[in-house]
Amino acid sequence: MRSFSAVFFALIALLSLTLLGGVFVGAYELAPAELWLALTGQSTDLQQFLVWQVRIPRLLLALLVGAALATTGAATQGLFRNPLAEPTLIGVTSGAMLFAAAAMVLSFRFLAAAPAWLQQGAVSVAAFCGALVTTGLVYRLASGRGRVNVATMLLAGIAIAALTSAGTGLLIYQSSEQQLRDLTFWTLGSLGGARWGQVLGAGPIILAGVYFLHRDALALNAFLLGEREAAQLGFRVQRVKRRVIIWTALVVGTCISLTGIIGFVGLVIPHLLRIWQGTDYRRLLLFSALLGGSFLLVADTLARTIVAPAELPIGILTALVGAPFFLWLLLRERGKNALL
Amino acid sequence: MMRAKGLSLHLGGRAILDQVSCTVRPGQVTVVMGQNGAGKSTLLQCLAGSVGADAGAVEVDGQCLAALPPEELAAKRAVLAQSVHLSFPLTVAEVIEMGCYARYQQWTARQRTARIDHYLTLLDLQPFRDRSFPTLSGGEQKRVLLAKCLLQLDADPAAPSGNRYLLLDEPTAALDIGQQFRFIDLATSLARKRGLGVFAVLHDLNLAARFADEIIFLRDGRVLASGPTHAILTRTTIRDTFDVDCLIQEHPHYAGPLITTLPYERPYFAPA
Repeated sequence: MRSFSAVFFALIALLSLTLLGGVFVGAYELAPAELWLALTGQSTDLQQFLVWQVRIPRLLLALLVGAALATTGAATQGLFRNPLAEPTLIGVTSGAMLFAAAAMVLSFRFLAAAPAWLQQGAVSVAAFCGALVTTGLVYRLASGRGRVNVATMLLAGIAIAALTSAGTGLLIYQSSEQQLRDLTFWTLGSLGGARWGQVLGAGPIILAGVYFLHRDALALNAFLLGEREAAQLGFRVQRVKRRVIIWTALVVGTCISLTGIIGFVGLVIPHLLRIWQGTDYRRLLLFSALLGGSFLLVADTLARTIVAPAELPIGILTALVGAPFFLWLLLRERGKNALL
Repeated sequence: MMRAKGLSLHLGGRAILDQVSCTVRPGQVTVVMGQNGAGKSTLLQCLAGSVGADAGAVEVDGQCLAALPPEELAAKRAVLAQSVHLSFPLTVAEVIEMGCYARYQQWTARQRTARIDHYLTLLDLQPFRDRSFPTLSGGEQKRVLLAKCLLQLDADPAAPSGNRYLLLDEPTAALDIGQQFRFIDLATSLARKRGLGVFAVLHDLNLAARFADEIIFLRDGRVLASGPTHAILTRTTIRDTFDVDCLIQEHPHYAGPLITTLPYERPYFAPA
């Protein structure tokens, strides 16, 4: 077991490197000297705008969203005691999807004359509400007599996801070509719309979420033994479950509302760290945040550079980069002690 | 003293526990025996505060168990679960450390490590410190879980607390015959040394005869008989509890009975 601080600083270094790389690389190429001038406000307005208003907020949003998705992924896997668990399973994603689709289709009818930012805003707000509403519903379905049954919640989440995807399908059936295209791109995610407003809006929620989930690290460790065992170790398990679910819904709802659905981060990053660093949640949550941030930053940098000046949806990149690496890791670990 | 008074619990129209009363005394070992489904594990979970009874109450040193906050309860009693499946692997040291989660903030990291090391050495687990818990054998896993329980009940030198209790739910399940004996010997002797009250669900009459101070015989949720081991461990109580006849002899190697069960035939006895 490597020491905590060594890994921590390695991940911080990785994050700094990816941040630096992200500022450099882009459709509009900047020489190091130009970048320095732009950063210090001594270059042309265009370059300054590009660096300060486009690139940097986008990098920060990628970092925040990556951290959020990886941390909540790790937390839900612990809560559900299931390696396949993801925030998707508690209804966050499916609900956001349904509401976002509804907003896209309906805004075309009722907000057709409205400016683009209002239409975009309507989709974001709808997605956020959808995430919270469906999670709330799944939570209610799984709770009775003051207890939440996580196994029921898992199954209820799957049932609700099927229902909402039927609703989404109905909306797709109704939608125009353009809406269908928008919707498809939305499900593949994009950080293209990132501005300071989003960073400043999402930042506090995501950072608070990561902080509060990290505060429940010991309880999540105890949950690995089972709920009853966690209670016998002195935890108030019902409160822990409620906190984890609420923060997950809030944080993931925020992310989805700003970037659409970005898959795979919540699954691959925590498992990667488990294989490398072990499961102890005191390390896992923090490291997931750092590595998830770096990972999404790299994926987004690739997304906006490989087909520049166009952009690939980031969901394609996260799967394309993440899946083979994850498979390689699994195959490498297959012969060793059963780890997963 | 941990005392259950008139515990009753009905589930699905069936009485799991029916007016069960029992006592666990500090420094003593109380063993509960009975057929499968007699309510042994349920009784243990009631004493642990994890299952609430319909009627009756559990008192710990005069306090009502249900009224104790979970953190305080965690320092008073620890439960060794029947089987533990970790959903993700942890190392042995990480599993043992869970024992001090209830007072995580009260100890410094250095103190925690020192206590973990103490119990690793005590239970002969030092070579396994950084091993992944699921790769251990059944007997080794039980020892790790015992270390976790003992750490949970570790007396705080700064504030010597009241009595503490160790609840063992079928601790010998899935252990080979050598391990069964060694594990119960280890658990009960460590508990006695620390003045812990032990409550254990056991299936082996000879282990109970050897290590219990008191035995409770349960049948269909009722206490059939209970009392000091030497007085209660008779052919009649065993037959009434298990529908099994037995031969009780003087143990050739130590003071106490040697029990041979005779499930089907009764060649040695006339019918009672």
